Amino acid sequence: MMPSRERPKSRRISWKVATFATLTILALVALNLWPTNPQTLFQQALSDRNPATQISLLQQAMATSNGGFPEAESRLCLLLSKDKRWDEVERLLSHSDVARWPEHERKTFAETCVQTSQWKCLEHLAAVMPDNARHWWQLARSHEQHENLMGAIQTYEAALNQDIPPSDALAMRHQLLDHCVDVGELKRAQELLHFLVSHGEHGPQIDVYQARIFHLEGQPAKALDALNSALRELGELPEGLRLRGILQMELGQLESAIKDFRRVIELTPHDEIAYFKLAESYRHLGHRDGSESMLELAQKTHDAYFSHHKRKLRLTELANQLKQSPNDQELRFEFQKLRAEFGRE
Amino acid sequence: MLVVAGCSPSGPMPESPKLDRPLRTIDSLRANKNERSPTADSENSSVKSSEPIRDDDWFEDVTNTSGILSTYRNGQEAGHLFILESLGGGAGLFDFDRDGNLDVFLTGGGSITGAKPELQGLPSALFRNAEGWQFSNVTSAAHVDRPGDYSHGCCAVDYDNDGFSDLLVTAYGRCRLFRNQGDGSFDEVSDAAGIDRVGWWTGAAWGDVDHDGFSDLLVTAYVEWSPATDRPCRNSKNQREVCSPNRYAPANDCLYRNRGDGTFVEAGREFGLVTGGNGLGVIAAELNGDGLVDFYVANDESDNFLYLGNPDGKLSETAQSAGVAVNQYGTHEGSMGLDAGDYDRDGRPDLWVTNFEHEDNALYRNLGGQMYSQTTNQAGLAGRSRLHVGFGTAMEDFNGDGWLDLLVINGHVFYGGGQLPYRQHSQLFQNGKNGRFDDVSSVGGGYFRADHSGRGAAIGDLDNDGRLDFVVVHQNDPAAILRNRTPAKSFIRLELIGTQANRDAIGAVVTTLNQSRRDVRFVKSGAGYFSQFDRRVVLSGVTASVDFEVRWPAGRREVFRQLSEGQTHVLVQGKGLDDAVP
Repeated sequence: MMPSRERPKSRRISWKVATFATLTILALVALNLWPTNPQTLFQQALSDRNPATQISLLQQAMATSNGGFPEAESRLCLLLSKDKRWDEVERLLSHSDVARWPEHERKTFAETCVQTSQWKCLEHLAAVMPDNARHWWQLARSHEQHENLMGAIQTYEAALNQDIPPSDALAMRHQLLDHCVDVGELKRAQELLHFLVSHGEHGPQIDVYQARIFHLEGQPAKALDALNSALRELGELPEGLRLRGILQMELGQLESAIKDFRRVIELTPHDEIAYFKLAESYRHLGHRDGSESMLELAQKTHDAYFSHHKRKLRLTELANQLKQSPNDQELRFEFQKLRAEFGRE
Repeated sequence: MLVVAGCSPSGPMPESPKLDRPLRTIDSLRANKNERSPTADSENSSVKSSEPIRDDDWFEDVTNTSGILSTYRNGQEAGHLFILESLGGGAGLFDFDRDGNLDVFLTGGGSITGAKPELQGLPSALFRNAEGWQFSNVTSAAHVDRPGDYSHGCCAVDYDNDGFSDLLVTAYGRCRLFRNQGDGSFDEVSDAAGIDRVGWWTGAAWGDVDHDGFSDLLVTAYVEWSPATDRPCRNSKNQREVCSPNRYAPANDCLYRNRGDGTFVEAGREFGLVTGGNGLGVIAAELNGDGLVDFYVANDESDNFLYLGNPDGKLSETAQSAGVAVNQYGTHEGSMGLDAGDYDRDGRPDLWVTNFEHEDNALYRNLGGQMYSQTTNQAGLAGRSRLHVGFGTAMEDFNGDGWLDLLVINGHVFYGGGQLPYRQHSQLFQNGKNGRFDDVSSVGGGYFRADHSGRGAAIGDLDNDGRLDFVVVHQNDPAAILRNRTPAKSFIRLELIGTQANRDAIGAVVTTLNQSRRDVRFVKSGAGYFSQFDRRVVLSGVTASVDFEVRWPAGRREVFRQLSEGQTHVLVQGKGLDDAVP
């Protein structure tokens, strides 16, 4: 049998319905009533209370906008960062013009980065708005909080390469100099010190920098001169007295060193280094008993204070790790044990 | 993390505020970071160090033409980030075939395989020195090609006093003792000899503790770890990273007493070893002037140990009272490698230790009377190592001026999450002859201008020209052979042979008598990091005819007169003049 050439009636109706629907949609789009308009999607996201829906709408808004949508970008970034979706934040930032973000959202985002220690976000903020010293400070401090001196040094160096306000640049040079001495980059430290002095900086802080540099360079006599100059203005600063004692030890002035270490211990009884150096001084003088008793005190002080500090840092570290790996039983056990110890103290 | 270019020594002096700027921005540093990202098979380091030699370079990298091709593998590619991967390997320079030339032994490391990780040792390699800076691989012929356990270091000694150097290889698992059969081959005798302890064995040094004429063996142990007890560690950025040793219980070192019949018995506690320590580098030498061999142990994140030999054949741990347990602020450091030598030429051996990042490598000046004073600052060495992680090291006279210089081989343990790069420059410090050292790394040669993941290094005169060369082992990169090209000086070389004392004369002290200056050298075992140095004593800048005093271990002093320069002299105990000052 030959097949019928006439289409079934139902199929003819479907075709008509589809045509009508298409025309209607096109009409709505033309009238800006169908929500493919980025602005509309953005407004819908703002009025929605569900973060997942908000994120989805903002992503649609950005996808349908040509040439970027700073308001949507910043809001999306905030939502993603609140949800700790840092990989997505980083991807978004990599092709986003943060400078065009609304100022208040940029600040909120920066605060979120700081609070959550997301230094990559801060680095991005600093890089896209290089003249804004605040971002550089935030990034550097984030590194400093994590005891990442190298990160802080790089940040200050990069910031000083920008047109940041002179007062910030000066303060950053001080910080940078301090860190360069800490990590033993003495040539750069000398450069910075020279710069600061040639720009009118003087006083005990500068003398302390100079003393520390001379000390690392193996010039204890010069270091002692600089430090004495600083201490004349600073008075009995325990850290200064301790360094003076160390320098005097290096110069073989053991009796003077002992005097300084004893004074440090009077001022700050928890200074384990002072106890240790006192023990060393006695050892060099051949006072074995005195040396051993001071070593014992150094150890006790260490156990009581330094250990406390170390455990506190470990507790924070564990808390952060547990956020990432909540099912790690070993981490949890160590965390609970440490927390219980702190409770007892 | 990244290198701080802005703080680099090459930074310009500021002439105006605008010039007071870093050399690189964060972006360029980021690019640099990518360059430095370590891979298991990177060729970066060897390529970079083969740059053209400069006239004033101290060393030339001759690896490519030497015939030595050997790479220590740590199993990084498995991605487990085990603490085991961090330690690396070592090199041994000793004359196994007694042809007068130093041969080169390189440990192979291991691999990590399987979902339930298993450790497998990789073969070590032995290269025979054919002179003219040509070496041939004799690993199979010498029967040292069996993989064994995941290896770290090596230490050569004639433990049976038969005149041929035997070899110990440390490993995670069991150490292996190879007896030199005198025919160019070795026989592995670990089981028969009783070298049977299972653990994580790292450094090794030989010395005759009980004065019976046979060398005993001190082996350091790191921590109590196994793949099954591995703990995932994270850095401050919450990225997975290799753990620090303090996450595990410290392991106990052991001391094998040599019974003199080819067998050993572990007697660490009887000899006076203390527990714990996270041990890495170890050296045996005469350190306190009493003629008995002593040991100094570098412990990672723990107080270092100083074991002084006693007349009763026991050891006393005295690091704290001697002032060499901790740094100058009373804190223990991440100590790795070490060496001993008389840097200030007062006749006493000083100690030198390489440490972890943000720590100073430590120089301890020997004051006599079993007292040391840390002189890192006074020597101008403070701050120089804080941006490095130091491993292999040596306190030797590299430029032949009679004063001991310092070599430091650097490389990080953290693959990428640390504050500093994984690959780092090594450093060379010239003795300033005034108690201070000058950083001469920039003229060290191409090797020192490139970055490496350095670990152990062995020092020795590979071409018998009186100048000290070295071999350095890297993580997952080929070992490098560095030829000393400093101006030639007159020299004299001594090989000491004990008869009543152990045959290697470990613990002997050699002093020049008739020279305008007084040189004192110490016959050592261990030293550096997981490596075996040339046991021969080389003295440079000597006049035509030299008189020497030798103080034999636990024995008398003898004088050997009118030894001519430019030669190797074999000084046999009992053959000298017994007329020295007692």
